[in-house]
Amino acid sequence: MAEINPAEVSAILKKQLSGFEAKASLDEVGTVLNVGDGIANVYGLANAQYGELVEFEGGLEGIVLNLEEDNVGVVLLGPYKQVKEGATVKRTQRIASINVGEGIVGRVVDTLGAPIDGKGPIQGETFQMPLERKAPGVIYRQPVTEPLQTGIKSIDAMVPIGRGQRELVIGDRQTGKTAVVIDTILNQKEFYDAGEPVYCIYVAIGQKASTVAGIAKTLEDKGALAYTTIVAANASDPAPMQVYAPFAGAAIGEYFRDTGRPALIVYDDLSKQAVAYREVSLLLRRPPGREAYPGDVFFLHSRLLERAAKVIADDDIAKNMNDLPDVLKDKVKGGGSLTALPLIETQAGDVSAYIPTNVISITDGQIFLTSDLFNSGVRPAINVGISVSRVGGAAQIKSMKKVAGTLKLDQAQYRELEAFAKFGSDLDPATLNIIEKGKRNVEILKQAENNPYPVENQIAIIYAGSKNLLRNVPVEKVREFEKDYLEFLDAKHRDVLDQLKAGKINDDITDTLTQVAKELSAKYKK
Amino acid sequence: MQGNRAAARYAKALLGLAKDRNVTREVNEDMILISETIKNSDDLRVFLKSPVIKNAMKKNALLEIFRSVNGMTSGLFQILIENNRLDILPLVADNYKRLYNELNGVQVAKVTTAIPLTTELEAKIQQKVKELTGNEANIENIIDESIIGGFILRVGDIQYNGSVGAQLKNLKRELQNNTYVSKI
Repeated sequence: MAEINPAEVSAILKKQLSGFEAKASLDEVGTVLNVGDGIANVYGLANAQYGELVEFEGGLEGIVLNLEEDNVGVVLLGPYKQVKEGATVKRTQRIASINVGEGIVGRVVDTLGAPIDGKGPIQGETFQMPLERKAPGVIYRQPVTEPLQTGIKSIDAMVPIGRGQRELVIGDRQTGKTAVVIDTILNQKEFYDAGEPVYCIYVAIGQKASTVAGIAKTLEDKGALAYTTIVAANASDPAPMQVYAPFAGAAIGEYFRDTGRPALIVYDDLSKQAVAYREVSLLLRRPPGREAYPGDVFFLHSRLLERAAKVIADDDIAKNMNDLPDVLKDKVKGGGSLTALPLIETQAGDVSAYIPTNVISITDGQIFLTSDLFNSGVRPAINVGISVSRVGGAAQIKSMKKVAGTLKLDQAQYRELEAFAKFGSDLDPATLNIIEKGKRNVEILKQAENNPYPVENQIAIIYAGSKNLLRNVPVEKVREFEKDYLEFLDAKHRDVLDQLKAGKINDDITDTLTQVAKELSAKYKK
Repeated sequence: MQGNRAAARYAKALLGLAKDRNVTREVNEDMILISETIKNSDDLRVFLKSPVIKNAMKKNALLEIFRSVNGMTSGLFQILIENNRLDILPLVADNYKRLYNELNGVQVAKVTTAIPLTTELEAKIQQKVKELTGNEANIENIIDESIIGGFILRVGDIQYNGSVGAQLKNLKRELQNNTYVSKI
């Protein structure tokens, strides 16, 4: 154990005590009628509002979720063993909210914004953001125009995501859903280093504490924690904490969005949140519907995901945005965005279950991950055929659009013909060509975990693949070739890569790429 | 507090009828008597709750114990027995008292202290109640040594907590809530 410096201890104690004021309090109170299964019925509290935080003796908090004639139903946000019948409950006069400020970046917090990473209190000025808030109206939005680079070749090329979009990541367990979103967060480091950070929020719902700690460690090691906030409601936390965790994350995201900055939020995962919500709803005796989920589980997800938005660039219009918290009014700037990447876990590939269909219909597209692909070594296991992005195309940079335009079709064609190849029958040269090219493209789209690609590298390699410049490279050597090719370009033709990054593409650039690819591929010729 | 909802409805109906007949005050006295008697007699409480004792016997016993009550109160016994709800009688009485007090603007201020209130203190508390709610109130003193010092004043849904115990608890919580200890 590390040695504790006595001066340090007293300094911390002093700091803790500085916020303590010993004074009598005047509160509105009620009395606990009964308590059980994380729900308490409280008599009194006549003026309590829906969604208000109430405080039990001993500091336990709860959220008012049922307002009845002479009592209110409260869901408890902690262990309820200490709550007894007849105990007093205080109103706190505040709707469930979270304190957000610049200091929350790089921290791990719980649903109510309390830091749980042991790094002390949140530093700097904080603003109280309500957990539940209406999404911005149509007038305060603008179409998605900028790309959100995920650093994953197959996504950026074929299912591009724009800033302000909501793209679902769906798949069975163990198909690499979390890996995809973590890579996306890691890829934002480039923007952080360039001084225009995309603030990332990772919401972990119902996961093992060890998994969350592992993710925090990965982010920290790769330098990504500097622009990321983790909101954790672990499996051992009460169901209401898990239900509200995504809303807490959205509230943090909105702080960045409304102050004119881009933010990215990952909900990992919404299936578990829906299960927690079902638990709370059933305990509150709300009638169950399909798969025993309550009737408003669609609204739960739609109101959450609707908060992802690209805010209009005009400051004057953005200032009048609906439902702005008062504390934020004079800080509002236009042009911010909140991109949402919700995750859904399917059971044995069944996307027609209740929650998956709901979330598919709410989002602007989905990325399907399948275990077949994963097991056959295609990683990330993105099934390109059924993955779509409904708005992201508008946000793709020009060079990428030009290069990857035909890739999705080519791959579809390849998969169709692939079946024939398995018969081993004689194929005409045209078909063989498509199949050989397809195989190489599949190799090109493979990518290791925690290894996001800068967009210029993606364009360069996809250009080589789609122009069939790799026909002389054996399939198993494609990845080796890719490495050589990108290293060579980086060393000798940095200017070309920079132009690609800027979205420019012309004959000079393509000539250089073709030239380099041809020279290098000659080495692999048998 | 099972049956509180039902009790509230019986009490409401009883008060409504008593209002029509102008006997609210008499019925209130009955209710105070009933609630005090039941509170002080474990035997009676068990007797009323017992499922093995016949309803007729319960009724006779009640009429015998509360011989001098208003006709409306004995009517209440009758209807509670018919509906098999005699176990909520004390709750009905409490609810009636509450509704009656609300109707007449009488407030009950529960004052919890570590030592019994002196007259002088009571006057001061009465003043505080007036300051908080604008009305005077009947003061009910509860002695609870665990609050150590100061007092807790509760009028209806408002609570004024000026006890030493509560402050110590707050201090304890403040110290326990240590953000320098990792919880993941």
